Amino acid sequence: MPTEFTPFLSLIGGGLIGLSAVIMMAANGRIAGISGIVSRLLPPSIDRAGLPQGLSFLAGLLLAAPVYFMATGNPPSQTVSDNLLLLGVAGILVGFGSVLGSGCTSGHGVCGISRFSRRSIVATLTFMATAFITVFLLRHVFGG
Amino acid sequence: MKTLSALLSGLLFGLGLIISGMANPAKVQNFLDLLGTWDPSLAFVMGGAVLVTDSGFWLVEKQA
Repeated sequence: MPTEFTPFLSLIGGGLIGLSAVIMMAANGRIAGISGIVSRLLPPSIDRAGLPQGLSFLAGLLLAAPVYFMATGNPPSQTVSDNLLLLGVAGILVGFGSVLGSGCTSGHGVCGISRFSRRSIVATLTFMATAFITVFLLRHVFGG
Repeated sequence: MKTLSALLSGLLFGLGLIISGMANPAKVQNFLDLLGTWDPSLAFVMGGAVLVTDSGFWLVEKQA
């Protein structure tokens, strides 16, 4: 299904994500990587000392949708599968893959690239390339 | 203090995702579908985020 190209809103939203990463680095000395923060809330890599800030980052992230709704009167637009089992399996795969790759689009993609980290640049290029291939295979080779 | 800044950071991150359209998996999938219903928005999100983060991290490091 096509989605509308939103260059201006996407640039602004990206800027807010950047601001979030800068605050996290300046005030907490941490990388605003979603997969890293979430994985350190749970065993086996639980970070007890960082638990309060990890939990409050996650709370802020989840509060964004109701805050957006209260401010604009519109729910965030989303098109997702109605197959809950499929969503659950997809979520597990995302978590597994990003921990295996030591980071996701936020940690490697935004924070890592901004620090010119070679490791993060390689990681981002790799997961973007495999994502392009996956979508190509699922949508154009095996039908969709 | 660190709890409050983390809350603010998470909130800004989430609002950024929603405003940029990246809270919508369909938009992300369409970025990855070059030969189909391609939507280049994700590149603009990445551009905006890296621009702000790069200058911000530079300022943070300079102060440290």
